Amino acid sequence: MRRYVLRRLLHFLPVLLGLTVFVFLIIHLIPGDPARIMLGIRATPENIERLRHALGLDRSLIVQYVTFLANLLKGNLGTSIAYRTGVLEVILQRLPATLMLICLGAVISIAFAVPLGVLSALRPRGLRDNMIRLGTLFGFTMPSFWVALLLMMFLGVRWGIFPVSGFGKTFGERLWHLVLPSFVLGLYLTPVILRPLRASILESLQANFVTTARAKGLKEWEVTFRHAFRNALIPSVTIFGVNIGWLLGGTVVIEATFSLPGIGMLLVGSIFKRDYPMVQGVTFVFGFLIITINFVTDVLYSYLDPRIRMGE
Amino acid sequence: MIVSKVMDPTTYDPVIPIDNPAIWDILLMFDQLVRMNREGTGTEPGLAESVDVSDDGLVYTFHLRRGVKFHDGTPMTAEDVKFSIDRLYQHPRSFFSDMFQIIKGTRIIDPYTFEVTLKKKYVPFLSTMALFSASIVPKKYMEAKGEEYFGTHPVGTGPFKFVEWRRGDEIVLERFKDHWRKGMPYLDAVRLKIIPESNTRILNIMNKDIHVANFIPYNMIAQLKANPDIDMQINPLTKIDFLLFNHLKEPYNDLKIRQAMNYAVDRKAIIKSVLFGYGEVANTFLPNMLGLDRSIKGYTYDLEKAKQLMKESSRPNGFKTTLLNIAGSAEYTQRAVILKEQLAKIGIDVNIEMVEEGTWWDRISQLDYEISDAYMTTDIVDPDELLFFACVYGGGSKAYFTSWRNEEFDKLARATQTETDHEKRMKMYSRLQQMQVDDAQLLLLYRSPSRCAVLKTVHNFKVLPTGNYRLEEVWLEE
Repeated sequence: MRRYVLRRLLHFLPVLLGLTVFVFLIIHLIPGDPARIMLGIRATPENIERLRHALGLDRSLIVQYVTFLANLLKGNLGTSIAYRTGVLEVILQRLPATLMLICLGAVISIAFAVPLGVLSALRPRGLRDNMIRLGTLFGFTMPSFWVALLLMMFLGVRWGIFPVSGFGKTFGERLWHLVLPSFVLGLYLTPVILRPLRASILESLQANFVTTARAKGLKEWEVTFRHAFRNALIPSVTIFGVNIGWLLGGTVVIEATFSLPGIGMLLVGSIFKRDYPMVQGVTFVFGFLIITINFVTDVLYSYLDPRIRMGE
Repeated sequence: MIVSKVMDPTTYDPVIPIDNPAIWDILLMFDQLVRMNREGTGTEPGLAESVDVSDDGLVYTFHLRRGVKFHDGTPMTAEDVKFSIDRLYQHPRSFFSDMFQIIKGTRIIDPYTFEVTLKKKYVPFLSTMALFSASIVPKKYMEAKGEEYFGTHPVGTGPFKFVEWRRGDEIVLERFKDHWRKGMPYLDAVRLKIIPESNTRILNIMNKDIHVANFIPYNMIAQLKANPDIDMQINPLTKIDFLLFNHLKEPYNDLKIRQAMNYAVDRKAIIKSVLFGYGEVANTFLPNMLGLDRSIKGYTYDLEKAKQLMKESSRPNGFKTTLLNIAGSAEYTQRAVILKEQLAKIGIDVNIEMVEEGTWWDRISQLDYEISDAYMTTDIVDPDELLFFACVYGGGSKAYFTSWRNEEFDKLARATQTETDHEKRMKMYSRLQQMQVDDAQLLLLYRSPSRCAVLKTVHNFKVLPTGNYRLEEVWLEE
């Protein structure tokens, strides 16, 4: 197990390095002169030169990259052009909203997907199975901003149960404000987990070890949960891990619709403000989170399925 | 009172920001020596009770109000004023510093008298002093705490005092009890909530979670008007939209082509379908502000005349061209499509090229376009800023990057800066607007209003022509 984790860790490092190259290049991929674009309407030649120097754009690409990497190792993501403070400082202020949203979204989707997946698999192609599959497909195919607006309109404005938008101050207030946003996020993720879970439970239920378990005279729920379910979890974990990373992108729309002060919104705002150091910083944090989540998923996967680490 | 904002502000150090979310909050927390009057037609006293101007127009003496306190309790004196104005034109990051390079020097005469000497006579000077960047900051506080700290913990003399800023979420201000306008402000506190999505802002105001929702999309105005709890305010704004012609590129060096295109555009139809009728045909290059001459006829829709002019032009059989279009706004996209259709009627085949706003700016400032979307808003009361930015070749922006050059026009424009007789100066502006129309420098489109939904329990709230609002006289009904 330890060797496997170490090996995954070694894979993790080059990916991280690749990420830094990509993030570094963001500012150089902009068509036109970033300094002039940032300064906008009052870009005088002197101002442009000054900003180019401040951003280090007047040095060679290699020197710029090495400086960028060295700063990154020190935990320095640069200074925001718009906010005039450290990029990392602003990101850390806004990371909690995004992380809380993702965690709650994940919890909600699991809470839906697992029982529904089991119910679906127990009587495949029955009315219940079809209803569940069709119903959750709705959650997946509806645009999230639209579902969000509907929820805000009915549960927020008309019935006044949940707050329409915002984040609140205390932890409790924040959880309350996150109910609708994380529900929208969870709704989206539910069928993504449910479908492979259902398929693998179905497969497991027909496997020999399940027949053996039944032959031993175990009760049906014991057969389902102790034997079939645990084995069926493996593919779901992978898919869950991959999608959690992908969900980070989905939070941008949800944060914007519910006015949550998360880093997705920060990214959009920074693009509009042409605050490139901030765009680089947020992209790096997003990338870092995705790589980390994938790493954790891999490790978890090997824990659930010993064959993976045996095969090294 | 809770007011919505579209975006998180950047910094509250008055000389730095260019984003409206920051500028509008600065105007709530700080005062300037003079400020724009409510109608937007001139200036009124601020921290300076009165101003003397020397006969040669070079020396401005500001007599400061006594007993004015900063939010930290320290008194405001000429020392703070000199510090603030010096930063304005000398600070390396002062964004509007170019507008104040006219200043030769500043001087403290006594604790309540402050003097500015100009390099040459410049009539719009007082108007530029009302700019938000010219806000008076406390010298001692800023020097002790540093500029970066000041940017997130501002201290001014304005009606509202900074309390808290939760990035991306909300900004909290409270009533400044020692404010020099006695008895004001009325509100105990203001919460500025950041709600970027227009639909969310609308749902919030319908739910009465917020009192003011700004930037209402045109297609939602009718619905909010019908709501009995909401006062849907449509107010004049100093915004004007037009298309730029690149006068360096053929065939836009041909006056007949430019005129033909101006005649071929049915502005009323565009206003009706894109702005749902909430707009005004632009007859000259000036937005709704001081100096605008509404009696100038400009270009009215006349397809026959447009066709005739095309026949007489250098491209009688029409031509193909590319319109540089700012992406991300329904208004610009819809407008571009209508323009394409309208210009096709005189044989011009328009290809729409959508670019992100930063790229748009980069392209036009390099004159790398044929025709392009463009707009402007003013930061000051006087039309001088816009005149030099949009129409004067030597004004620093090559006449809004059209490269239009008219010697006679530029000469007259410069003369307005030293003309002290207001009537005469306004007549000069009328003449300038007519000359600009005759030469068809731009393809003029429309002026659009501000759209703000306000709960009816809010009193005295109004969006000013510059887009911001003052809250010291606003009060809430229980």
